[in-house]
Amino acid sequence: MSTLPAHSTSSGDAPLWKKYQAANHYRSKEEEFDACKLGMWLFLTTEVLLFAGIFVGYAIFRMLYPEAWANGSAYLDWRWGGLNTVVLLVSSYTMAVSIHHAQLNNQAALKRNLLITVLCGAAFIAIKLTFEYIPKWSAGKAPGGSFFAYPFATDPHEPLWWGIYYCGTGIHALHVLIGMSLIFWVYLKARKGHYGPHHYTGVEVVGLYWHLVDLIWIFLFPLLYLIG
Amino acid sequence: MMTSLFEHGPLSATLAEGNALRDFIFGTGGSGHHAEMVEETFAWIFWISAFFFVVLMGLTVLWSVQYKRRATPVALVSSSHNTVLETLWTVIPLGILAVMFFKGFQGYLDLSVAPAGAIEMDVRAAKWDWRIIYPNGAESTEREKLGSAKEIPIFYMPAESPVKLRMISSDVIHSFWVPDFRGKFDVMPNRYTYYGFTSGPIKGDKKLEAGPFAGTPYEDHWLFCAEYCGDSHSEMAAVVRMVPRETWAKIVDGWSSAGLTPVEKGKRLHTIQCASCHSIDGSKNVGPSWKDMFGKTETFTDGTSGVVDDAYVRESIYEPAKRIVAGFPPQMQPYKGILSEDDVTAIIEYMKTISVNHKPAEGQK
Amino acid sequence: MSTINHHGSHAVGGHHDEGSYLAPKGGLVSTMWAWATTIDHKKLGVMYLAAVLTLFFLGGVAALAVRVELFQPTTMVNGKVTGQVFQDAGGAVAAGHAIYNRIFTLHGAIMVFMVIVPGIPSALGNFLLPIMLGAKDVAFPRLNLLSWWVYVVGSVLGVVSIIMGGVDTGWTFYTPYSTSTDWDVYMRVVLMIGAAFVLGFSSILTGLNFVVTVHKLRAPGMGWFDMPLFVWAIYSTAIIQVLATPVIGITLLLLIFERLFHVGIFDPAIGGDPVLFQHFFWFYSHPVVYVMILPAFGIISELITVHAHKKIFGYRAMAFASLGVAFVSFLVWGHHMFASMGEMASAVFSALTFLVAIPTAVKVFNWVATLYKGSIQFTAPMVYALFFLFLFTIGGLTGLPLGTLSTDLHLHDSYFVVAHFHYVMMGGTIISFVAGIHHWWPKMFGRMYNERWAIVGACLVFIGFNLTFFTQFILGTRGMPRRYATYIPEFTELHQWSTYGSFILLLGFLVHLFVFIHSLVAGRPAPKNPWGGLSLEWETDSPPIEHNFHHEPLVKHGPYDFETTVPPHWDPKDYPIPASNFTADKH
Repeated sequence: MSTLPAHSTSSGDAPLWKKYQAANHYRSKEEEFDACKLGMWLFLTTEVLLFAGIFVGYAIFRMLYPEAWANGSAYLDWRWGGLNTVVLLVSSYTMAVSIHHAQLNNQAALKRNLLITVLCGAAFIAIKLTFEYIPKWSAGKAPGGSFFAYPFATDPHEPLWWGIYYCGTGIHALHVLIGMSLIFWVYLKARKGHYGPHHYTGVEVVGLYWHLVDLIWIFLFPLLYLIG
Repeated sequence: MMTSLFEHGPLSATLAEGNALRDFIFGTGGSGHHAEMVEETFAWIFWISAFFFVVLMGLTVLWSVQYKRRATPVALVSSSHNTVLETLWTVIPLGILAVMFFKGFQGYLDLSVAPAGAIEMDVRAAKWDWRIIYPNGAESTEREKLGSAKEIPIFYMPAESPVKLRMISSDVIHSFWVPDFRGKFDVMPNRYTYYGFTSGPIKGDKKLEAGPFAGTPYEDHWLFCAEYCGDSHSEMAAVVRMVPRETWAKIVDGWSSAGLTPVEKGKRLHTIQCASCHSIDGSKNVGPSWKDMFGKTETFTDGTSGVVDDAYVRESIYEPAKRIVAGFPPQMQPYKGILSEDDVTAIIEYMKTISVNHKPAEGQK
Repeated sequence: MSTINHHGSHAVGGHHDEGSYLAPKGGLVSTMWAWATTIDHKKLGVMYLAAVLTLFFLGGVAALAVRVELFQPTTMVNGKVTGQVFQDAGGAVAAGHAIYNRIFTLHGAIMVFMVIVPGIPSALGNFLLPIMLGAKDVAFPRLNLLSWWVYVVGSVLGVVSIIMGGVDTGWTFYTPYSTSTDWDVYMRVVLMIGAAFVLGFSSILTGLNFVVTVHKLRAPGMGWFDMPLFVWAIYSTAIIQVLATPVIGITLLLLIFERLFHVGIFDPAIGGDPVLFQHFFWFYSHPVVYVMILPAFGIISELITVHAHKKIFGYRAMAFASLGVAFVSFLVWGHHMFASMGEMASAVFSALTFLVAIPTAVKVFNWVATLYKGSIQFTAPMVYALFFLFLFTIGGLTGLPLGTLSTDLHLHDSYFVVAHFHYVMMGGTIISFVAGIHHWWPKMFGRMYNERWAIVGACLVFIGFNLTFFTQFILGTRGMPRRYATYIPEFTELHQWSTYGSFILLLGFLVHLFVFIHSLVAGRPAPKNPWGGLSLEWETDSPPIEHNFHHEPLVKHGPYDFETTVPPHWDPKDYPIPASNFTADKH
């Protein structure tokens, strides 16, 4: 994958990032970069508030039904959750590193780190499906009272725990998938030489998004797996 | 009972009994201490609002006329900022609002904290019927018809007595509102809410006309459901009938169901539990009428058909969604846990007596 | 006020030969394609305007249907149902009520989610915000196009749900009713909730775009306190949109999961909490009330100053009041639940609710004070602005007995509430929206409208509105609950007055429709600055060219310096400023 397309390094033809012009309604590239970052920060605020709903639900029902929460948490294996935490932390690191390499014009390292980030995301999803969702689901530990029964539940409120668990981790997993797609798209653009020291807006804002996805997992993991 | 700091203020007289403005705003039915308190607070807010409204609109009209555009369009410079004025019109309303808040909080406590020595009753709400269970376990057997022919219960209440209602819903959220009491509280599924009040005196000169208590004075108030709850939300009503406390006690004693025959019991259960959806005179309501239903062959929504017999009636009470008579919505809630097997038998026996399709076995006539 | 004229080398203005943004490109199909894929904020604004007005018409028809049904209570005469307009074929009264319930839900959902929330920000805001800031476009034009199509998708989902038979949940989707109704055809409930969810996305993206635009794209020399108050209002609105909408997003998403999988979070049967839904719902929906009303405040500030040629009284107080309202609005959601919460929570929320009254009252005082010594011209927008003061003052003051705990327990969920929020949402927002459309109509379409007929329409709307809704205050205090398909006979007379009023209202809006169509077909060409406004949109052409300005605009006066500035494109002879105006103490 690290063999470069010729045009980004060939002499005489400047790489795309050098030729980049800000959109016509901005006064400068810097202004555009700031605007994009501000926009992404605002968007991240909305994401935090979206998950806040789940966390509030978690807190209220945990307060009301501590036994159900303890039982539900006991079904989860903290080792798989911990592994996934490590995977995401590594991906956050490689994401940050790729911005750094974009600024230094290390095109190969930029692409390599982007790719590792995507692969980490894929690993996260794979672990989640193989060792968490699918075994639980086939054991009947699925969300929803109308399609599934809870014969294993020792506490009548356990279905609520599973509701919160699947909603929280499910919406998070969806964000991981969206983040992966965005990073892959950035990777494709990086292959064409779109990013470099003067222009790395795409890497920067997608990176911000990816850190948030990571951060939300950092909250979900202890709440769901560790404190029973 | 709390006494308001403001009860005897200069504004409290403005909505006194028989006052035309009060009657215009609230109608004449207000009943009880809480109602007076709410009306008084409302009047207080009304006059403050009226003052601000008249001043603001007066200035708007005055200046609109006075400063209508003349020959030259340019306006003369005048101050566009005045710290003293702006501070005043921020701070003064804040003070008024603080007082308003405390008055409101006081009245709210009056309603949510039950008066001492209250008579406790249970309120049960379900789509789309109210039930009140009196301290002796009895329920009202008196009903009357709304304009649309839906039957609603008449709840007897003791006048001039403290009452505490413990309320719960068996399906969605409802809200218990007797407009004449000037207060309401939501009725939740899976959770008790409470509503306490001291009922007012009986006003007007209505007297019960028939029955053992003929001649007793009474006053009727509407009870509405105020939280939207579906198709018949607008007809989830009842009549709250205030009678003197001694009479109330006797009436409620008379409703106790001890010593009734199954048919009598079935008839009473119908009145309490079923009448809001199933008529007994053949008129079409949410559910099919029971008149001549027992023994009849009905077609169901799934295309099958069958005779309405004991088994079908029992099934329909406990698992209503299984077979719905064609032409009716699948609205009924399961009555498992609400009606016992004895109750179901009583209902079946009662249905037999009002159906020409039921052929009693030989020798049973 | 800065006088910097910025002509940076890279900040090239529009080309001088550039045409109006409305000029068609090629044939019909290519023009339509150009509009559907445009990233021009003006075209998007115009498309929003058309969509919002169409949906307003649809929601209005539903409102009239509601009023027609309520003309008489449902009664049974000799075994026949009378007074029920929407009857079930089988004649069952309850089934007829079910139709009515769908109609009022349709009215509420359309008016709230598709008309009032997106109305002013998306239609007028999109068109005006960049021009008022002296920018060529919003910060993220392609995102803007995306929000438009998301809005279209959301509205289509809602309309599909209606075509499939509609929902009867009420626009508030309260659980557990919304999770238990219509199980036979549950998809349309999911569709309607999904529509609200998707529309929320559009709202977030638009708000985000506007916040960044205001931060980054103000014309050189335009400080924060040189911005027109409409921009302040849209900015405050956008902040609420960004911060509140995600919460309704997750709430509606959980509600959809509840319907599809029965996860139980709002289901009391397995320990879930239906009141949690109300908390989540109002945490969004109360701030969103200010998404609906703040832009209206902005419009009124513009209209009163321009048509009175008068500097706004207390500019900073107005700007901070907008932000203050936006902030406090996040703390008051509980006042929708006084009848279902404990004493402590109710007391806190009641107290906080009164805090919102202060900045709102300050705004009204400032508007009235602005009229003092003005030069007031009674154009249709100004007439509407004065009507707004009347209606909004009533709407605001009737909020007081609703914020007061004891009186609220009587008035909650009654027609008093219905009347109150119509005075605010319709008397406030819709009235100022229509006023704003008239005010900026010449700028948007380059044609004048017929002033006389517009004023006739405004007066009809005003009369019809008061007749329709003032009666409802009385109905509420006397005990009429909201969302009732029928009622006890005592209420008949007031309901009939209300229905008569709604038809006068219809007549008024039809007059406006006629005025708009007439203007588009035969209106006389609009000058660049018909009202003598000072904000930047009046410096450019009517209609503006594609890139808004021929040169990056020169900000050399505040937006409200009417006493000392000749409006752009006006002859100083027609606007002779007395020398005393320059020497007078301005503060």
